[in-house]
Amino acid sequence: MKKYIITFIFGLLVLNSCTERLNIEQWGVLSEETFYQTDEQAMEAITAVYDTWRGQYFNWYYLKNMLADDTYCGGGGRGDNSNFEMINEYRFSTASTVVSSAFSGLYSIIYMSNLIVDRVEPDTDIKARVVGEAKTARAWAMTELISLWGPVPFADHVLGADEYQLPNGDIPAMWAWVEQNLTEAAAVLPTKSSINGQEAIGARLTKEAALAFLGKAQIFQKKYAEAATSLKAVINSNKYALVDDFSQVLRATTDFGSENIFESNAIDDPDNAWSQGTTAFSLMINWRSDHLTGMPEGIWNTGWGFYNPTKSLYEAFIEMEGPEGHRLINTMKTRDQMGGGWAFNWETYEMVYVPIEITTPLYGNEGFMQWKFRFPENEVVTNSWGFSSSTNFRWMRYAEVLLLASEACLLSGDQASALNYINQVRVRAQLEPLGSLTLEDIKKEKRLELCFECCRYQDLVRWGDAASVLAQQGKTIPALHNDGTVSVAVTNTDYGFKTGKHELLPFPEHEMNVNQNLTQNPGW
Amino acid sequence: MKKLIYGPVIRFALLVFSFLLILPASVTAQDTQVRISGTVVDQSGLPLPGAYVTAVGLQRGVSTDQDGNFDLSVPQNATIAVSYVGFKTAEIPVGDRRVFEIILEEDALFLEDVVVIGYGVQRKSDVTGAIAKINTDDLENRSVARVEEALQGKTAGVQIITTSGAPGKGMEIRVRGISSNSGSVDPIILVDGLQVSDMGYLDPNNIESIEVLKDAASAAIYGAQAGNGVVLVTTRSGKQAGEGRLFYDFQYVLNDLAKVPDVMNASQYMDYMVEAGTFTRAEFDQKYDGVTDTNWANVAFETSLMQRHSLGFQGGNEKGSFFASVNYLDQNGIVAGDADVYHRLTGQVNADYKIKKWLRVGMTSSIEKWDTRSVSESSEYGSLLAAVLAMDPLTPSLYSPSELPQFMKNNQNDPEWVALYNDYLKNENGDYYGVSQFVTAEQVHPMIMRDATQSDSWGANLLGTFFADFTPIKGLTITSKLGYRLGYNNSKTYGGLYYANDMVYRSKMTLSRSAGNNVYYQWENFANYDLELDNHRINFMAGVSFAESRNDYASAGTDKLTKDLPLFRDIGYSDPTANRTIGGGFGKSAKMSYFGRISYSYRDKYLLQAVLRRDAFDTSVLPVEKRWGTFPSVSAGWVVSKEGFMQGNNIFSYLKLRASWGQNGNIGPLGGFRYRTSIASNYTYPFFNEIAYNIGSAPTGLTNPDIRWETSEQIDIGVDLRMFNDRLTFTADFYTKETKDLLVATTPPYETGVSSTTVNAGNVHNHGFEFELGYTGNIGDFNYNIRGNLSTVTNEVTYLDPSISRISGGSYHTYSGLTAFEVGYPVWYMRGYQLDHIDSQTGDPVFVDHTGDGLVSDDDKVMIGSALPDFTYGITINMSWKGLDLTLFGAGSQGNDIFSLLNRVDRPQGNKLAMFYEGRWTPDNTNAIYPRPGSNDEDKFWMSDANVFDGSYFKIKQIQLGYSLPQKWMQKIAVNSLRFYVSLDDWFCFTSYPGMDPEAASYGSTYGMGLDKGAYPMSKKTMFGLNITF
Repeated sequence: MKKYIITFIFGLLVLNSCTERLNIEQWGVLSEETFYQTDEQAMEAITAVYDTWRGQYFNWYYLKNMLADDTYCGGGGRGDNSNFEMINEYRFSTASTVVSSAFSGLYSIIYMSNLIVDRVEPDTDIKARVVGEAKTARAWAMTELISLWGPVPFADHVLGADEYQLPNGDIPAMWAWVEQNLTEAAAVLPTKSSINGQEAIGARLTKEAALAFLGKAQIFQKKYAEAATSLKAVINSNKYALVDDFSQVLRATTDFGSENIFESNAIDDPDNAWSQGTTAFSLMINWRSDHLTGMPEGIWNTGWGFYNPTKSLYEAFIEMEGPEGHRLINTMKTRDQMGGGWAFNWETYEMVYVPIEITTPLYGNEGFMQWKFRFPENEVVTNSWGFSSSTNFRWMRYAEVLLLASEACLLSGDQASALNYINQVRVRAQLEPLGSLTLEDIKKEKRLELCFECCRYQDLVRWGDAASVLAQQGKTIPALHNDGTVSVAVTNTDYGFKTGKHELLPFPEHEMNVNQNLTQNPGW
Repeated sequence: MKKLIYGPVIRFALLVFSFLLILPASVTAQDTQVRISGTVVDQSGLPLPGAYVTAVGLQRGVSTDQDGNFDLSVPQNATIAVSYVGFKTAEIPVGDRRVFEIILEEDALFLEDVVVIGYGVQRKSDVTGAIAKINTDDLENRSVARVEEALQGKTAGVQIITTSGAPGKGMEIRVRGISSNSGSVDPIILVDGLQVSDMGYLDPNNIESIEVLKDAASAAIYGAQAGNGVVLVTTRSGKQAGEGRLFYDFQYVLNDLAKVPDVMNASQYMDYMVEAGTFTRAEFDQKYDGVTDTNWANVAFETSLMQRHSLGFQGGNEKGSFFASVNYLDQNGIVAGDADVYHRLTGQVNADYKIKKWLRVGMTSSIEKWDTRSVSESSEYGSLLAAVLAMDPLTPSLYSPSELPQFMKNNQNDPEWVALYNDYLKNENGDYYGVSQFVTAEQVHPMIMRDATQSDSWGANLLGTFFADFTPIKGLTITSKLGYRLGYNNSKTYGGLYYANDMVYRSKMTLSRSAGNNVYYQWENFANYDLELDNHRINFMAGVSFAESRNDYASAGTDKLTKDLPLFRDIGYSDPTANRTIGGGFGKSAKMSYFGRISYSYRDKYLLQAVLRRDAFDTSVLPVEKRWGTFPSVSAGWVVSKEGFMQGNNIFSYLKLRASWGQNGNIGPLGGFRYRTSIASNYTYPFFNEIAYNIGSAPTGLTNPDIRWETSEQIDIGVDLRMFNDRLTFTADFYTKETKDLLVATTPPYETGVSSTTVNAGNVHNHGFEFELGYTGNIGDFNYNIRGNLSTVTNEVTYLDPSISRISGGSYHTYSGLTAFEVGYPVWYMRGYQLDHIDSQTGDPVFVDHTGDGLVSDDDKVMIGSALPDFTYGITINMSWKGLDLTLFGAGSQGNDIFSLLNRVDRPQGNKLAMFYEGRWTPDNTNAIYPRPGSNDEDKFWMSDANVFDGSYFKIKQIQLGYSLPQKWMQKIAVNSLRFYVSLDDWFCFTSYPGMDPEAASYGSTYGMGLDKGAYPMSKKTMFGLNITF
């Protein structure tokens, strides 16, 4: 009998269902339904936007600057970064990951912002400001998309499952939306208390940032009078000024300084070195240290040597400033200016000056070393092996506002203001003020002042100069030798800007695969 | 070290031994003793020598002699029990009889091989699926440290993928190809019914058999987890007739590097670099001493030792059985010094006892303690093995402190440099390791790489099962089985200050530590009911299973210690000013299942089996309403040789045809609440210039509530054949396996803002043939046995979501997509440019322009190889003559490719294989096979098919000669048997691959398969061993 009882008990156990134990809670997340309600939640949502925006810097920077005529891709050798090389030499296709990363990155800013605008009720001061920030963020991203890709899908709200096949957007409607967003945002965003007031606001958007973006969006539309109004509002706020010393414009010393319209923050936090924005950005740009015997005094000892100035840029500087130009020497170095250091000679027992030697030819280098985005030791976030920098990422400088305003004023007939604005830039560059002004002057000034700062390609397209300026881009790739001679490392058969194609970037291959309603840009 | 280890071994052995002594119930023989004698014969009347005769409850019995006779004193009213392997135990009351003739009946379960099939066993002749069985003979006396390794080449349809030959590193088992784009392509492994993720804790000596359930019908009993096959491991038990046994096995192994690839020597290196324009002659004249020609393999490797000890106890009777063993493995890898070591101490205790006529209880348990230290490998950013090939031959290995070159002295005299790096690294004699003035890659002096970083990990595991078998009525067995795993693991990595060149240094010490523990249990209740009615035999099995697991971990790191001395290198001595990191968390999962099986046999001639399993997984895997899945299978067999028309023939002794169909799942790629969206706080942003962060939150992604597991559907057709009085055995199988609903990450249109979502949108097809052939024979005293196997796999991706043109896999530095997953190609095929020829005018490589647009671009990349072999094979030959035995075992792989990844374009100074020097274009050699150094498109060349090599190989894995001392000598010293042997393992490898080891030339077992970034090679081994039993 006993055996039957035991068998029966086990039988019961077998039947005892354990399904309750299959319900496991997910840790570390909140429910989507109850979010976007409080001030605190709104702040968390906009923090995600700022973090996402900062994360886009690397791709955005490389895409736009590699498309311009100011740099070679460089790196350790041919193929070290073939994706950037293809952009730089106009050999890229719809499969370019640089193009798709920038495209998707801009849309991720729009998506995160749309979540806020769609779901946060602006019924408190904090929530109203957050919504204003979100509107600015998405309008800025849309400006980049329209100016680079043209008729992009118009994602003006969080898309539902049935809206995944958006057709090409209507460009005027999208511009109107951009302007509306920025105008509404400017009405609610805070303004700095003084020219040094950004420190108190931190890395958040201001009314003037929204207006500056608005002015730039209007320039793209060739609405010069409206642009002049928007940009003058920024200038006349008297809350922005050029940094006195040009050598410091991109340095950590001027973070949250008077010249920065909008910047993404990076701090010297060794415990979180890896989350300081776009890691490796500065290391990428720093000189190719393993091909050199040393680095200039005060410069971080490791670099990968991407991003080397072109001779054409150097010559443009010489033409305007001469070889000792203040802005030139703070923008790039020639072979002879690479410098060196003092070392003890054990044979003669004296200190000798040892110039930096090039041990392996510098690929993608026409004889010039980039200095504007140098990577000083004191900006390295300790504990990161030089991968991250404490310097803030500048998205727009006041110098750009002045030059955009100058252009807008000139083209809307306000010669006096135009001269005033450009001369502010020239005086800081230790150049003589101009007495009269042409668009050509502005073009030259802007190339030098804002080289490597993500403006050039869109400007060339906007001005209609891209086809002539960029036709030979990537035909040959140079290499710099120790004796200063430059050889041809690579000769391409496919290169250069092609009219009717490269005015707009292609919609990424994947986008075309998954969005059946989108028409590809001409030539792609 | 040895003291430390042997102490516990001996203490443990004593403990086990005393346990052994206590176990059998002590019965005192107070009754009057009577003397009985008799003969034991089988049903045909042949005497059975060595049968064990004892009285029930008595401790000692006797064995029958050569003629089956025995002579024994027993209590007057005793019952004698007579047992013999392969026969049913007979129990006979003594009564008044004094002379017995005992006829033992053959035990059907023993007569034939029995295979483990999951929740039960089956006679091999009843099997209708494709099940491979590896017996203990194939595991014994191998120089393998890990069980998986012993499976290689031993059975068809099972491929072992080695990603590293380093001590303690595991291997991957692939059953019938690869059927997923995910990393979850491992079969599930059950040890005595306990599901484990890794067999590393098992000593090969403790294993009785391994069954691999290859076809879907056999595997279906494990349902949603069986899509990649099932491996069933059975550990040894004490079940045996006769007296208890005590055994000791010992191995002493010398390991050496098997092959040094041919790289450029000093003069070739300088020629190449000068021609490439990387360096000038003048630079070499200035910096090179003119005599050094370092062979870095001689610096990095040495002969190393491995030793293994196994001490075991085995005994049993009809009531119970007991097996216990302790095993110790001490393995030192071939990298010079003790930087790559593995120690493992394991204990196994398996016991069962029949408490009542209707109740048997038992347990299996394994205890393991392990520790390992490892070096870096398989990385373009620092593989010690790649450094052996990439370091320049111009740099000396060592400098005595007095003859340091000037450039090193300069740094030592620079206070800033000293503040950052302290000093150059030295060996134990105080000599400095050479620092290259030429190569600035991460592959630096192998000994700097060895000494700059110490990676240690260690842990312990306790695993086992408790079970009870009830037999309330005849034929019905109800089993309740509780399996458990408890484990902890620790790791600690110390990175010291060092300087190797401008790119490779560490100016801030790092120290990190992590600790994890896991608890898993499974409870299974199932019943087997055997029914025999005339010519019908039916087995019903049904059961339920529930399993739950939890693992927790915590980690911490620091970059400054109060003192950087060896005995301060732990987290607790972190300096207050240090930057510290922390991490931690837990994972939890649960699953439950119902399963059932019906096996039917008519006249042992027509066989039929059906299996059904229903599985449910926890809410982290699937939503509540979709969590159940059903996995069916059917299989059938026809034993043709039992048919009347086959009777009387002398050739075929057995012929069976089999066919099966079934569905299995693969749950591996799911998990992590992928089916739902929530708000996650994964963003941090500092708004101000102070160390303070705001937390940001956003939705986690896009929901896909329709997500489900991968499903494999497989058909298998097979034949089993025995001929010439069972001397020749042959098995052949054909299978075709379609795996559907692969989980792929798709990205919706970018404007949705959602980065990616997981959908079921991919199919993979595998089909192949498997053959196993064996022959056993003898010529007089000379016995021999030959077994061979061969299996083919044809693999192809048959469907992928139309929005995905291909999924990129392996990468090398900035090159991605070196392997790809794409419709119409094998899984993770190798993709790159195809070298057409070398331009005789310029020496530049010319690639095939597949698009015909006059340009060689990304679009011209094609399939240039596949790591999947056309076929794999193994052959084992065992021979014995008197006391001598010889085993030859070889295994091979044919038609697989290896992508040699040793040349980074941004580090052109790295040394290269000598073939690129010898075959290079020069003005005098315009008809070259390799380009001029520093040619145009060199970046494409290194990623082209010129670096893809045939990875086919055949390795003689074992040549073992043994001698067993004659029995008559042994008995005098109370030893049952004693065997000495010597063995040469992995000594001979036939391959055309120019790298180190074609067998271990992968940086991962899925998309990194066949991509050689400097993997740790398998060593060749010279082994001495002995087996002794008492």
